[in-house]
Amino acid sequence: MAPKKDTKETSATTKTKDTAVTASAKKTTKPAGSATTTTTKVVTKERKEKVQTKALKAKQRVVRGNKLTRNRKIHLKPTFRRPFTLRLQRQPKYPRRSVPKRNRLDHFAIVKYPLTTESAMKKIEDNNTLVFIVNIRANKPMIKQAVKKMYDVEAEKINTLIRPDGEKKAYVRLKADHDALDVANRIGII
Amino acid sequence: MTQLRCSDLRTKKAGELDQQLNELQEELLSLKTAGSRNVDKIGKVEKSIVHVHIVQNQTRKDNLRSFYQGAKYKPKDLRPKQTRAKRRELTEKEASCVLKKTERKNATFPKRTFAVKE
Repeated sequence: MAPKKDTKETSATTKTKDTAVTASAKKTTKPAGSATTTTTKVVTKERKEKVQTKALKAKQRVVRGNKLTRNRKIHLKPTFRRPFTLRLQRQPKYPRRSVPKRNRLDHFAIVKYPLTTESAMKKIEDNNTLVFIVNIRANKPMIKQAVKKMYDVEAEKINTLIRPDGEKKAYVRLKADHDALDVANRIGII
Repeated sequence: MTQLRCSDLRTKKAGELDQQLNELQEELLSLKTAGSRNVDKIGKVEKSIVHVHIVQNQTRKDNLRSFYQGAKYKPKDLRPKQTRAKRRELTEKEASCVLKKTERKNATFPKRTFAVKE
């Protein structure tokens, strides 16, 4: 208890930190004469707190025991499967590309132009279909969408073939409520 | 119609450029559907479309560069391209790094040059 008495006395008088002295402050059992002399062991408030927490921690450790023996899981099966671990979502610090690539196969690129050959004309009159030259990389659903967006017509079905000259031809059969002849007039194929 | 010039297009706003692009593409389509192909005009319209894209992309890139100016992490296409090998080289500062010991040595014993007096 002697050291504690000492600290109460000295902290009231001076608050200066003396690092060389604090090391021995703990061990002082005898009050060093009067409080005003320069040889008094000064113990600061922070030092006091540190010592107290250290003592508290030591006490706690004694109570809970040293955890040298860990709780080991009991495996009842011979197989070990990888456990589920935390999987974090990506949170990039910067986008890899400053601008995302633009879609080069947009509606204008898909439908190149409608055909106006004799056989195409026949198709318009007889089968209610329009014939287009289409981008070779376009597929039927793409063509359906593109034609709908560009010409405002619903397609019933689409047949495609690749011509010998490398172009893709699409026969777009229109729904019954559209008239291919009218649409052709509107577009500009006659 | 005359072919659009990039210098004219740069004065337009982003929304106007998108509109312009749409108009040009529709015009191109109508030219292509026509029975007799006006090759001259088609060429002009195609080039105009190209110019609109050029201006759009350039302004977009410029804006992004100014946005990321001074940022610690920039998108990779905004960083200096150089060559793959050069990007992996030590920076000038890293390469000139020297032990404190050698620094002191060089400071106390610098290379002296002497000349013989005739």
